Amino acid sequence: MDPLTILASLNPLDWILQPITDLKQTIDLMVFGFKIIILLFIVQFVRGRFGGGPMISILIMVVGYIFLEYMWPIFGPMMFIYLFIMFGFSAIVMDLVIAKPWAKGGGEEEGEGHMTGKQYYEELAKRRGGMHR
Amino acid sequence: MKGFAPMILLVVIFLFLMILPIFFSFLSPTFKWLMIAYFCIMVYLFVKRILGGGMISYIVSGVLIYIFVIQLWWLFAAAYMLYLIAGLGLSGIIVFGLPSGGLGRKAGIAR
Repeated sequence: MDPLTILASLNPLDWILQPITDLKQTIDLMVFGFKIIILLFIVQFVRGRFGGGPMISILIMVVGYIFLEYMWPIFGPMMFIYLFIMFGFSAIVMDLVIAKPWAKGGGEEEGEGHMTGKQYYEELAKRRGGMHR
Repeated sequence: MKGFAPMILLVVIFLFLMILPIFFSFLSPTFKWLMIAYFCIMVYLFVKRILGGGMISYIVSGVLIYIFVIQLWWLFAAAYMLYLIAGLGLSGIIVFGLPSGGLGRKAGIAR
């Protein structure tokens, strides 16, 4: 058999494209589920403000259309960040990025940005002393 | 790069904790089915809280269960584990406790 035919029968492009297609399908499914959750939040919000009734259902549909279809590229990431904050995941990120517990109080990480109050006043006094000399 | 090492270590720990339920579910199918059953109840209660009892809540929770519990159970399990860690306040123990503990000393980042 011709090697080129064997290669064509193996279809290497499919090997590359198949995982990408699968990933796209997974992401699409994820986005669809996410949209349903957002719609539930919209329902909760609108019902909480205006109560029930047929007009409210129409309002929910209009708001849902605006949020989930018309302005989705803007509201999608915003909603994702909102959910991220609401479920408390942001606390972990804040602890990791801002608090930096390992940088507190010593080792090689200690620098001007991580000094204690006592060290700060000592440094300040040292600098002032240097200025008056 | 030395400054990023503890952060990378903590991210790896969080990822490990997130992967843990997926690992256990591969280890034991019973655990996986228990987890799926628990997630189904949770999704239904979430939908019921918003839409109230009725046919529409069954349909919506069915769709959500199909997407998040049947198809994307690994994602839901990992996200739920992270939610549990954040919700129970265990993230503070991990982030602030581990660097000063034995693991931090081993990694050379303890005080």
